[in-house]
Amino acid sequence: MFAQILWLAIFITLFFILSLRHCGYHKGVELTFNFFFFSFLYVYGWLLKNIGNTPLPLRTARNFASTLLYPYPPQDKFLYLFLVFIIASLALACIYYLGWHIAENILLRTGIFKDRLFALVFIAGLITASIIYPLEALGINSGWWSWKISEASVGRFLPGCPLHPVREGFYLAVYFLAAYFLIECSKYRKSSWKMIFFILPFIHVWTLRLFGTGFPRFLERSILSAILIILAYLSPLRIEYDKPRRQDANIILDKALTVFLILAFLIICFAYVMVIRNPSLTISLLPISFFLLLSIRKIPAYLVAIIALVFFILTGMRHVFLLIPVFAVASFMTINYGRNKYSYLKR
Amino acid sequence: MSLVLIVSFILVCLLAAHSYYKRGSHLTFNFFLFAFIVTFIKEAPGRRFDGVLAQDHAAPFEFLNPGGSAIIGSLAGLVGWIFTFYLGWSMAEAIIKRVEPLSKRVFPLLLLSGLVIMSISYSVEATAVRMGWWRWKIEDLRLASFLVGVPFMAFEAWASFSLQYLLLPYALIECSSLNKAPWKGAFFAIPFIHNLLANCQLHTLRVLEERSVFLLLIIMSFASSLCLDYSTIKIPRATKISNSGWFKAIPVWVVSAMLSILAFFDIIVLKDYSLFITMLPLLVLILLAVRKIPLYLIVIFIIIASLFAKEKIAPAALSLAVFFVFMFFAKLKKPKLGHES
Repeated sequence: MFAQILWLAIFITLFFILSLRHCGYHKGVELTFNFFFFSFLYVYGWLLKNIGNTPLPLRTARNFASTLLYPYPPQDKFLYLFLVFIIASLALACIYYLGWHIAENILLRTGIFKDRLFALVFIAGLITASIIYPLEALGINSGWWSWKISEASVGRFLPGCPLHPVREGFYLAVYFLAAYFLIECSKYRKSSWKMIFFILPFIHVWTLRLFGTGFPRFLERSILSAILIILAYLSPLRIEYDKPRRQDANIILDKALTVFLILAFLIICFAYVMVIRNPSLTISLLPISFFLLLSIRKIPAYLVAIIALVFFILTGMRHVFLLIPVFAVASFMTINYGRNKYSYLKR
Repeated sequence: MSLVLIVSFILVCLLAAHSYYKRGSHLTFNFFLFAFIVTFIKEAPGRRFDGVLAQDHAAPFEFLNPGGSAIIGSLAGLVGWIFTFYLGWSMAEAIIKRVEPLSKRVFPLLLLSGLVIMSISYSVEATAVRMGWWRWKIEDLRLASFLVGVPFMAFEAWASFSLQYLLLPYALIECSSLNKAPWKGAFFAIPFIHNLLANCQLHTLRVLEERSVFLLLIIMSFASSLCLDYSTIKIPRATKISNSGWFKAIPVWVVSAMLSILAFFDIIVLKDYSLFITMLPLLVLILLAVRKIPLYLIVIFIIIASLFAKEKIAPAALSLAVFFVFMFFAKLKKPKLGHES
């Protein structure tokens, strides 16, 4: 078990260094520091908040950290637990950055939406959830952990995984990214009251603490989703930076990041096929694959749409949730197309 | 309880107005916003996954709010903390002005803020515990002969919560010469680590961390030359009211009002005159904050009070002693400090 964690730590440390360099190159030191530092604190706090207070909604496991989490972690395992969570937090911070980077590339296809803040938050959140999905499927099916509050829903919406962790991953990312972009990368960055957006990541925790889980949680999530979708399509608020961003690509960094992603894909596929012996789980890699295809501008969007359609028909039209990436990007592109096509009506 | 809450809220509004005219909208907004966030994290009643509403079970105290809702109790805590944070900060600023060369330094100001907050906690805790507003679940006999039934841990907790959750990171991020550094956000790690240790019930580690920060603060107060920097702040145009003497002295008025309210509870409700002793340290700090009052008068006041209070004068004498240490240090390093300022 120790060897597994060590390999994981090395892999994620490499991922972290690479993301840090990539972000530093394109966005500058201050934005990079704040993004990774605060995303790490945010995720680490979120992971640890349950230890002292209540049993986690996670349970079981032959090994890995969650063995220690249920019902309460033994006192002598705290250090071990902190280290495992540090690795997990670093990984999630990098995933958020990956979401940001891929979303920026995808939105370049969408004309008027290309530098819109809430569209970026929406797509980046979806990408984060798409990356979390195969990781959750891997963790749950290899017996590292399971979600006791949503065990029944495994495979109901997403093959091989309950909807809960993927959905929560989306909301968690959206709260952080919205706060970060509004404070650091919008026209409000010069306002004296910009830190009001710092409250956003606390809304979920306070809703749970004041009103409890269940209906209040559902209501909060519904309101957030409605506001986010409305703002993503209608708000003209743009991403703005203090200093002009570096546009030229660093070929070595870009290639390293691509190789790293391919490697991660291969490892996950290997685990599905050789360790878990359930090749059908590779389907969980589809949403992030769609996003990656859409982020490569040389690949026409209609080709991705055709691939999605073919997949949808071949799988008996069951896995509609896996097509969300294509729907989301297609909707932005359609609105942009419509605006360009019928812009004469406005005159 | 509700009346105290309303009065405290009005006093907080007065303090916010004082802050706005003295420090500008940016610093005021951020101070009160973060005071709200950290206090809400600490005081909001929590529901566990099973839906039971409960105060944080890790806390060594519990609110006794018979008949009142948990929300009202939390609100009282929230307003009380915001009130304490600002009073600690602004009173320390007023006091340190007497030691001119140190008045622009960050760490002496923070150390004095901690002292003011401990003094506030001494008077508030003594009255609140007797009034039955809250109860300490632990027995802490350290310095018990000086403290009227309040565990010493309470004072440590007030000071470390105020310093580590708000004042220390706020001063370093917003008000020091580090405010232009691209990595200034790293100071957010201070409240984060403190919160982590508090929530994970690692009591020994937490105590160790609190003591280390105090020790570091004391060392930095004398060793660090980090200065306050308000150069990027826009101060609003002064009005007739904001320029008046009484407006500038709002923190002193507010803390005096607070002492009067506590005295009312001690005399009229509890009929316990011995609780006056708990107000002495704060009284000494108020006198120090008013620069027109000469130092020798304050020393005479302490000597006379010691005739009645005997060994219980120690906390008040300690406040004065800390101030004298700063004066002595400033005189010792005068040429260097004078050059810096």
